[in-house]
Amino acid sequence: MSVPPELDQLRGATPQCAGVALFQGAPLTVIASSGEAALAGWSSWEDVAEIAPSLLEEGPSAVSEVLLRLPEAMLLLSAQPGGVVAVVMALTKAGAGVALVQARVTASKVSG
Amino acid sequence: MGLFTLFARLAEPPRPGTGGWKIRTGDGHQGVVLMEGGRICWANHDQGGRLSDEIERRFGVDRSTIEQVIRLCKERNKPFGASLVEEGCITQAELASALREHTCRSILSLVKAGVYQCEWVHHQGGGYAAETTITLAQTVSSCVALLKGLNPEGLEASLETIVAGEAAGLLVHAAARLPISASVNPVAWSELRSWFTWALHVDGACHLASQAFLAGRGPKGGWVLWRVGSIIGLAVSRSEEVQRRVLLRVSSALPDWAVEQPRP
Repeated sequence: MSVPPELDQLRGATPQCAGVALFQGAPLTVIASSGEAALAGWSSWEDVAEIAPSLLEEGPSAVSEVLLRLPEAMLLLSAQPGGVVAVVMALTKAGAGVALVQARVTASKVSG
Repeated sequence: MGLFTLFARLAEPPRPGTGGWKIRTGDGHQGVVLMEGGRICWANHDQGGRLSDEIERRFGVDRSTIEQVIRLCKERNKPFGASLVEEGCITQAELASALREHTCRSILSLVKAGVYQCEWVHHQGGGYAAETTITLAQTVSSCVALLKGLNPEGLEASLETIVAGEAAGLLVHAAARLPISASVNPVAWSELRSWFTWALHVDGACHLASQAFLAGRGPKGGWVLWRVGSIIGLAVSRSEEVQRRVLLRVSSALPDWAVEQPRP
């Protein structure tokens, strides 16, 4: 299993990005991470990994992307070919739409 | 039978779902729940209140007028509710509201009395107007809302500001852990059970703050889960376009979304 070395770089490239993590396996486990999930209200990436399958697979319909929107931050969970990627973004005056686009771009660049 | 056990039984009428459930209660009385095409039209418990009393109380229609309409109904063999509207005593919306409340209160009365027998009787249907019939999900949610002292119609109106008739959805009371409203867009009985259980699980795991929301997006549509105070909302859509519109409404409406309305 390859571990992506570029998470720190990806996070550094987007100032609003507070954390990125890659999860793989069943049950999902944290393969690599940079930064923290705390801004989006999570105490650890492990907690995010634990709830991710419920959000992605067990809801009213299976989805490939989940957005948790808080007043000042967002968490994007994205099912990518190399695993599930979580991206935490701080919201700025640029708005939630811009943050969501940046989170999607970041998630798409993470390869497992 | 408890409320949800009774509804699990009502949810499986023989096809085409038009007929009546003849119900006997432990106190020796009986009642009926009528359905058309799988939707609830009317329920009554012989120990419950009368629709005419409800209409008199809620809409100020005097007793003599009601008696006159009842006489006309018997002469012309026409339904009481429709005649009240035809005679200009109440509006169609008021009739629908009164019928719904009477039905839900009758079902609650039946459950309270202890349902021990529930048998299906086929019939041709009474030709109820579509707007006066409601889904099982709407009925059970309205029953729960009434039990909690909430206004079912106010809750449904709040839910519809988000789902707007194009998505299916629910409102769940987080503390009671029960659904208190279901959308006009039908939610099947099995969906109701699985959706509100899942919504409560996710809400508990994510510790959703008030006015926060979660949105899932996939090739088969998506969902939006939000929380305001003690109410959790869930909207489910089957197309990306509808999902986009629901998400826009959630993100713009949540700061002012007022949902807990006391009964008038």
